[in-house]
Amino acid sequence: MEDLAARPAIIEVVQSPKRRRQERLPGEPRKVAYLYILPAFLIYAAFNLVPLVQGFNLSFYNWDGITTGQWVGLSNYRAVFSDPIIRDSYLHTLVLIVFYCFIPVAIGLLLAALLSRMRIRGLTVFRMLLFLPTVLTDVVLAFAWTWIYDPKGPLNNFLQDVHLGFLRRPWLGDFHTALPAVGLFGSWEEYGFCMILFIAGVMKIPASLYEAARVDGANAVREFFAVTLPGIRYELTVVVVLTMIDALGTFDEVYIMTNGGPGTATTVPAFEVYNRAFLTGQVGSAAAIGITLMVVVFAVSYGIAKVLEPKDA
Amino acid sequence: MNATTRRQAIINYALLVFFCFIALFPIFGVFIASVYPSGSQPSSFKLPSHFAFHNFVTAWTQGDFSMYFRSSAIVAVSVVVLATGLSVLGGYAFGTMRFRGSKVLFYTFILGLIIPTEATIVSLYYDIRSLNLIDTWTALILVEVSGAVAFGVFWMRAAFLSAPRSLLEAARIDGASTWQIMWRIMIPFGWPAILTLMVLTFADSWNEFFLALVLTTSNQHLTAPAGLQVFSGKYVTNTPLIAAGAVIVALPVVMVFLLLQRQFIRGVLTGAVKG
Amino acid sequence: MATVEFRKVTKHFDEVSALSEFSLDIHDGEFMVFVGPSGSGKTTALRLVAGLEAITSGEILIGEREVNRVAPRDRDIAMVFQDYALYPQMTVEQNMAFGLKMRKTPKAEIARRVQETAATLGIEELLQRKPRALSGGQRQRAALGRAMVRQPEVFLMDEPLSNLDAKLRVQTRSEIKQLHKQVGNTTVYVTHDQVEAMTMGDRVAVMSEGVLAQVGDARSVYEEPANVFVAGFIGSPSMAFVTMNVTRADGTAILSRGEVRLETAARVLLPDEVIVGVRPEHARIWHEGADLVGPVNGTVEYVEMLGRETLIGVGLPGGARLVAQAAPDLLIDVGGSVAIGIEPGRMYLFDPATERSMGRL
Repeated sequence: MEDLAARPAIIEVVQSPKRRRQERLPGEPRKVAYLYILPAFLIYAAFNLVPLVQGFNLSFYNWDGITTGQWVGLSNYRAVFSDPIIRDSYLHTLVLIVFYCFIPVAIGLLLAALLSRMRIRGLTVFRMLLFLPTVLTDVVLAFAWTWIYDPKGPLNNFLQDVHLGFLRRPWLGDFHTALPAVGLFGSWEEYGFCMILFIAGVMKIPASLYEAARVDGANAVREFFAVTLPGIRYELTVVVVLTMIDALGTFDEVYIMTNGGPGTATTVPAFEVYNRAFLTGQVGSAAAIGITLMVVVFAVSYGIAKVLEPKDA
Repeated sequence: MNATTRRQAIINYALLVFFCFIALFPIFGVFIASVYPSGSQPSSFKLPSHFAFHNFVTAWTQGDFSMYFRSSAIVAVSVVVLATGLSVLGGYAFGTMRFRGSKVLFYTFILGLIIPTEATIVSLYYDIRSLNLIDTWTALILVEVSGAVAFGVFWMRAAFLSAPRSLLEAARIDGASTWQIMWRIMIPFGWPAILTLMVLTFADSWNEFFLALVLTTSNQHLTAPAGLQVFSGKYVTNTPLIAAGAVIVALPVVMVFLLLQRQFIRGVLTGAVKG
Repeated sequence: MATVEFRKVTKHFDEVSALSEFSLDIHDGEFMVFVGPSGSGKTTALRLVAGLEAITSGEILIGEREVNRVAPRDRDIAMVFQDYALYPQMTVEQNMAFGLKMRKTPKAEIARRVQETAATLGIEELLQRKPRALSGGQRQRAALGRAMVRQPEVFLMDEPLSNLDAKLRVQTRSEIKQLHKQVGNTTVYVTHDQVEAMTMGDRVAVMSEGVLAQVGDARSVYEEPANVFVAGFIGSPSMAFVTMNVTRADGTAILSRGEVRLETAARVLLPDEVIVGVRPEHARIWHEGADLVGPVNGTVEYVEMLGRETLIGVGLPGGARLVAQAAPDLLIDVGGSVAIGIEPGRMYLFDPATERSMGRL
């Protein structure tokens, strides 16, 4: 799930907004508020909440989408642990998390650390360029990388040209390299976003903190851990949560680049949902996977936010 | 705060440039591949000797991309208009009015930000089917709006909350009704936020693949990303042609981004980096 | 009659009581100033009149009409906010016209009134500008203009001068007072600055911690403060307070603290202990033969040369302090001893238990 727009709002979940006091003021309209909210709420409920509840219900059945379904209780959920394919899909997500989250965050931190001491000229241009992978249709980007990974494509040719020809292989078709190949795509897609957010965060750290550290005799490494890292704690939380959610919800690129394959080497939960609901007639199972995915997403977001966010006023 | 030596600065800029280049090269790749002669197999980033711009025309006409484009445009514009309108209304209520249950209702919307499409897609499909709306733009629009509204309400509420309370009070003393306050004061005040919302919603809608894949089937109704996928299935070995189609698909969002990048970036950054 | 009446008005915010049993009558055409430190309830009282907060108990009447539940737009009031609250996307002219437009006033009438008001305030050239293109002082006038153009029964002003620099503040102060003389509407003006209160108000309502401490014209609030709070709040530099013991000896009272002894004729029945308050302008360097009560001996704690006068902080036994005023050319050293004399009839006495005034000696 790579909603560009949803990115900033995720953190809101953990940080409760300040609420205004509830009071009846003279002549202030109160009931009318519900009217303003109604249209948005109706559509939202009808196409988001209701299907969620229905999905929850569906997950307790075995259904092929055509004939009547059978009640199977929690067996679809048990399958999350017992069915090797589903298990694998989650394991693959773990691998993707490394690529979608850890690597881009590391790159972002590295650059933020290096750039923390200087003013960057032309930042607008850099920002624009680094942002492009985040902004573009990932289907398009997935096709681009599919071509790059093609056995007869640029990557292999490049390796050949630099005398590393023995490294050539069918990246997306090889059991061992398919998943990392997809992962690398994710790293590429996410690192720009991380960098921009971290740089923005670093720019907000008052220079006086760095000066104080320098006076105290800190070298660059100490400065990073003592000033930079704590200073961008908030951005770090946001980035980690968002990239993890992206990793968990990966669908488009898997569908385009590998179709879950070779075999099931690159399947992910979202892909399994699609596969089972619309291709193999295991609708109940698909629903259950969808629900568990949501629980995982929520738990991860909440957990990370709690761990990384300090409890300061 | 220039404690960096000149040499360090050069290294830093070099690194920045390097990473920018990495971010761009696959995109360049697509452009380059798209002007190779149709049917050929571009295998590197070298420019072809002959620029086959004709590929774009082929993709557009024979490849049905004119249709996909049209579908995407209709869907995206509808989603933007509808989602923005509803979000402004809802955000205005949450951001400026006090009423019972506002906290609970608001959190319900926030929930929508965490509910991944995967959790609802299954029942959504069957619901839409029972409404006989499979393979229509209407279904796609409604589903996308429902997701966009979750973010939109949050976003507009934050924007309206940032307005000084005295502004609203002055308007109430002046005798403006709730509706008039929204139209004449809060919307002009929150215009940058509204624009950002529209830009982000547009990009999300245009880029949406999963929903289009599930809810639309016929060529007439497929939106651009899904259309590209179908197209690639038909012309599997014709990389330049597929690349041309990809460029066509990517273009609108790129243009919107370039024109309104401030809104774009501010939207993604501010929400994430709110002071 | 554009009167404003508070009848035992109480306002709670959750558990905090912002205003307690506040009662006050504001006369038609009066310029009433609510003054007090932050948290005194003055702004709350104003906002209750405006209808921007809901009353917890009591009544508010505007023009003899109870308005507890009436919406702000129907109360015939206009308000000038501390941050001016000008609509940022509209020109000054549109800002001023807004309220009239909402009341469906005919266009010609709106145009006429806007022009008139702008002329009165001297902001005609600013009419087509937007707030962000105006200076602080200009915005303030625009805010005033927006309120005035509606010709309401009651004007409400919430610290309108506090965002201006000192010079502009003084200038605008007198302008507002002038306007009031011209236009004559009932005005309720809130400020934390007691100088503003004293110079602008027909009457001043001094407030503290949600309660009305005293109401009266500037002179009576200064000359006859009802309690310690008002005495200490009004007047700058402020009154100094010393607790003293009282012993009586037929007809005279002896106020003492440490070695300091003051004898005066006692007309009032005094308790064993009193709080004595003296304003710096009524305490001078002691010399024999002058018509002063004293001497009060103490040590010089600080000397403030203000150009026009010099203030001397005099330390008394037990940590108390009086402040005396001296001629600007006086030379005196910190740490040295000094004797102070008090103008007769200018020792304000307060009951230590209730802090209420007991008159003066």
